[in-house]
Amino acid sequence: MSKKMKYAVAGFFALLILAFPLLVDNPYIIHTFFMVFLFATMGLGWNLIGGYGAQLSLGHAAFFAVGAYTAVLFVVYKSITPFLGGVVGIVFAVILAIIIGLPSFRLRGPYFTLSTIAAAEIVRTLLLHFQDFTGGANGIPIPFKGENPLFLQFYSKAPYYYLALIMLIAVFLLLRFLEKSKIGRYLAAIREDQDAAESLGIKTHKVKMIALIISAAITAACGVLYAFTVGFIDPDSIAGLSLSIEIAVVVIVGGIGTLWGPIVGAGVVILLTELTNMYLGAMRSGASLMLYGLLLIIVILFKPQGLSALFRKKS
Amino acid sequence: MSAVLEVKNLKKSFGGIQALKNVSFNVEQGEILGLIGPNGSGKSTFVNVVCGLYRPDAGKVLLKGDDVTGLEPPLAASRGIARTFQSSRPFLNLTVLDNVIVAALIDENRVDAAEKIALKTIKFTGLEQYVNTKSCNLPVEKRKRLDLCRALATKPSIMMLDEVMAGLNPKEMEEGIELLRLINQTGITIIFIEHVMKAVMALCHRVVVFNQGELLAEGEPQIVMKDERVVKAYLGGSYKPC
Repeated sequence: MSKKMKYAVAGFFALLILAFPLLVDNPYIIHTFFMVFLFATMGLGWNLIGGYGAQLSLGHAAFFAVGAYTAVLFVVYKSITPFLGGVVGIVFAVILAIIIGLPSFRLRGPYFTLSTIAAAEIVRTLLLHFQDFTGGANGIPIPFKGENPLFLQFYSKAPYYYLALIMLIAVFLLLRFLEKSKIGRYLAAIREDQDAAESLGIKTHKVKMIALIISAAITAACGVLYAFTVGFIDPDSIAGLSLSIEIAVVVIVGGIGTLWGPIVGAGVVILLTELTNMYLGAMRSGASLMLYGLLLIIVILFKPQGLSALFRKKS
Repeated sequence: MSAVLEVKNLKKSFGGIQALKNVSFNVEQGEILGLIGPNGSGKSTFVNVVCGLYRPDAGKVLLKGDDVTGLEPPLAASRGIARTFQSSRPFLNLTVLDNVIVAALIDENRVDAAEKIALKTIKFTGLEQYVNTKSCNLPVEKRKRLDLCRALATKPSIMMLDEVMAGLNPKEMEEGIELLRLINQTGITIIFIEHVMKAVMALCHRVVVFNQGELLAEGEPQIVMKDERVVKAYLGGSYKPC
């Protein structure tokens, strides 16, 4: 393909993505693409610490839930805009990241992964325990009070689609910058060999901490947007281990430690999940999960670098 | 001459084994000091204590008069203590250039500025034809050279080289010796840990000999090598000094 052709194809797809909500007015399809963007964004954030730094987190749902719950509780109890409550939520997620990272980044091996799982379980348990405040296992609905952009409330799904798209593009550009920056190069060195990295003056725990903080902030922001798009949150679906795993799986399927991996992975995993739910959901419960598992096995067996490697030129 | 590194009464044990028993000596500014001794005599432990990987049980390490005892490796590195590992440890999935850029970022925040330093250092160490080669594709000798290049890019005042000559053929060793001389001429002090006696004799201004965690002898290579205790402890009966 010539360069001109490539630009033409890229431009066509960009226009298609931009005009998509105008062409399709099925809210379910719009919402599915919203989820693709959301998971791509979370995947990009997760990849910073999990991929570039090779510090496997299986507790990113904790940051997602802290962001979502903080913003929602501010609206429900104080009628404070999620733009402010969301910022507070991001701050809380960053504090949680520091609490996880301080002890575990000084150690090597699986301790960080274990800490992230534990942290997410603690967040989930606390949300269940303080049910008078959080709604407990019943979850908490966001009362819809008519169209109000300041409170992220819209009749149509399209505004959420565009918000997720904007967030995805912003986070993508941030990651593209970080990848080539000092911190990105230091993370690569840490991934390769921590002792050698330290012998070259890299304060590994500090670098990992910065990466985790940025990662947590991105994930918390996604949590806020998700909560107001769906209008309802509950601890098991947004603070559970399954969400944490799904974020990691999106990146692993797409290509761990690569810029496009999370985007490819989110596209494949989310669309496949939705398609199988649609066509196989009625057949047998669990059929979609089986296909999901099968995909994971195939990718790990045949393309362990992830599906985005299919598009990369051989170097 | 003044001491760039002073080691005073250094002790380090692992369980019941005393790897370093009360070791003291000075490394003079600008010299190449050979550190020799049989396997298990404490040479690598010494390197790991000085660069901060191990914390000593007792004793002091002074760099240009400043106490750097027990400073963690990254801090020791930013003070100017560089080291290579006994078995080379390049970042295997990165190119040679990216390996060295990481090192050059030590007191540089801009990647493009670090790249300039890296390219210069790569040229100096004779790796320019491998700039864009992934380091996992390098042969052993070039990997060792990359380790050296990376350490050099941190602009150290002292380099501790742990067996950089091991496994090299005679020609490669010749080149290696020449490169270390050039590095030394730029003013960098070198602690040269080596079993290859030919390289030690050719390069070192002075040697210290470790045996079972103790300083056995210290002095000019030609004289130390004739010391009976050294011959017995390390070189074995068959070594005939010329």
